[in-house]
Amino acid sequence: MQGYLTIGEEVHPLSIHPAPGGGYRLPNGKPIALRARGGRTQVEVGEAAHDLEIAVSGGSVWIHMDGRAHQVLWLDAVDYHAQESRSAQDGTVRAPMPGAVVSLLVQAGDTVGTGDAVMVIESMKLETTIRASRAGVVEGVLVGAGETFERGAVLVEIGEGA
Amino acid sequence: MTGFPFASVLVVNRGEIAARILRTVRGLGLRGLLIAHEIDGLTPALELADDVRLVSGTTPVAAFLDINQILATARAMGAEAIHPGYGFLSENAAFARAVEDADIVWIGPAPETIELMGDKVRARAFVGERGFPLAPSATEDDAPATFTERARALGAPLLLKPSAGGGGKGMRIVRDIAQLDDELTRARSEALRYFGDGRLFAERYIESPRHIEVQVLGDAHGDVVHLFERECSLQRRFQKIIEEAPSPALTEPERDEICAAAAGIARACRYRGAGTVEFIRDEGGFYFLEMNTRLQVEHPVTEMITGLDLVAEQLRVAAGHPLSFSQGEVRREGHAIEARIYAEDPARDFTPSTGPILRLRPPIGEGVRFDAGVLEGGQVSAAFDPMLAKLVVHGSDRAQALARARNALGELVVLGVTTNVAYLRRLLADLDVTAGRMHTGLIAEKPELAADVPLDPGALEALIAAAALSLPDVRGAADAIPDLQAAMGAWRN
Repeated sequence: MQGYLTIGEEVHPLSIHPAPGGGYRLPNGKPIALRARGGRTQVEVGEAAHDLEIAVSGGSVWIHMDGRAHQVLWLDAVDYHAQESRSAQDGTVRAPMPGAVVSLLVQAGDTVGTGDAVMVIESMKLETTIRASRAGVVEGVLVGAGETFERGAVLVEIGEGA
Repeated sequence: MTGFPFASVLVVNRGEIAARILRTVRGLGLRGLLIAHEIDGLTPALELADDVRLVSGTTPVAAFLDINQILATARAMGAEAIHPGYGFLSENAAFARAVEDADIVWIGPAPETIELMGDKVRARAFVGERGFPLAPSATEDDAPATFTERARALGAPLLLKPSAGGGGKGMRIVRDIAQLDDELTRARSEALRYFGDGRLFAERYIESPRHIEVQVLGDAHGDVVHLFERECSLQRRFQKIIEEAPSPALTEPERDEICAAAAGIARACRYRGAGTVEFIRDEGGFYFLEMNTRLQVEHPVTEMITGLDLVAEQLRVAAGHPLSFSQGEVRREGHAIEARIYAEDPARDFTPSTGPILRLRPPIGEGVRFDAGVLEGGQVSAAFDPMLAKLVVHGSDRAQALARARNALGELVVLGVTTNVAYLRRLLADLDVTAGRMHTGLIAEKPELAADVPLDPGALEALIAAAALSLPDVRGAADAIPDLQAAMGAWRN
């Protein structure tokens, strides 16, 4: 196996193999191929063929197929397992959406309980309260009032404390 | 000879509306000028403008609100007229006045009109005094000490709005009257932050109303026409998502009545330029909501059914020309629908998404218009509103317009950033929507439409295959195997 593909919320193990006579096949034996046809791209899986548009950016493959766009995220096996073990017991509070900081409710050194409000952010004209992901001591607040951030940005780090 | 007393128009805006305005400005033989913020990178507006100057600020939005900087830039560029688009400074009377004081033509209504309609309390009083219908309400200004009490007396559900507000910002619904105090505190804090003015007013919240608005156009000589209505009942958190014209809900006598009321309100305030009178409508009738003293996001649906170019009409009015047609000459043909394309993820509670525009292929076809604010190769940041583009379609009737909209949404390719395109397509196939049974709460009642539709096994396999074959790492890992097999084969022989 070469790694995992995430499509939407689902994770799919991925492995493709060289096919006899050239090209590749899926583990179930179906031959697969990508072809350019008259300015369009087609993927063939066994007997089936689908028109699509593909754009690759790093480990992200964007595919438009049957009137829908999909983001397919690729993680090789090593990175995938490293990420799995990191996510448990995480004191890192990340931005659930891009936005801006309205007000900070804690500072480094404060003791917080799970679910305590740590800051108020604004996104899409709405205020949202960001809460502590675990109990502990605030090790750092990584954004200032008024600052903007992207989704997934680290907002607050919470440590175990002394 | 252009027939305009100004030779250039500076667009004080960005995104799709900046490009849309510049297209008309240049089509009329005028110079199109633009301000831009560097975070937007390459945009359609940038490609259309004859001259561009960058503006900056503590945040990108602040740059577009900085009156002094914008006026200095306008003077430096030799701008002879300013078009504010929508949002930003478009309904800022101080800006309109400063533009006029700088001897630059303001493409919009008189500053006094902006002030009157911008103050929701004064606007309601103005409209009510002239006999147009209003929903029951309580205003803080009338007697601040008794405001909470009067709001409570209206009963739940209530809608709290900033007196100085607009565009859905800072509005809160109170369903449980016991929470009124908390909600008032919240609403006041938001009103202060958005508008620098914490005054509120409370209005009976009408459950499941339709949002129907009427496009009006007035000239500098007191003449006003309406350009029929638009229905914008498909909203999420007070933000319109789908707009159409005509409204499938109105009979002809109802249409005449609501359009005449809108034109009457515009005439009463000597409205100059393009504006929109918004109403809510339920079984009991229609009520004045507010008047927007600018070009609306959804103006293209009106253009599609009337054949008019509203920006061109705005420019002619600003040039002092009388309206070139009478009410009786305004024609209406077919049905138009607009869908707003947002960078957001419906499956994750519509959180805004950001990223590069790796691929953008607009839909084409009869009756299809695509007003884009981004280009392939551009970037979507969190700095501004997440609207990327507007898809507008026209059909001979509503059913054809809906079908064309669904087809066009299926053809539209946006890769690199998550969008609501598939969601819009599902929404336009919903049975209540296709039947015209819409109200402003409909989208909230159908959260299941926001979920990603599961992939069938064949499609899933195709996606996995296409992704795997597009990733050099995956092909590389697979290619490593034949060498090994070949080596083993050689050894075995």
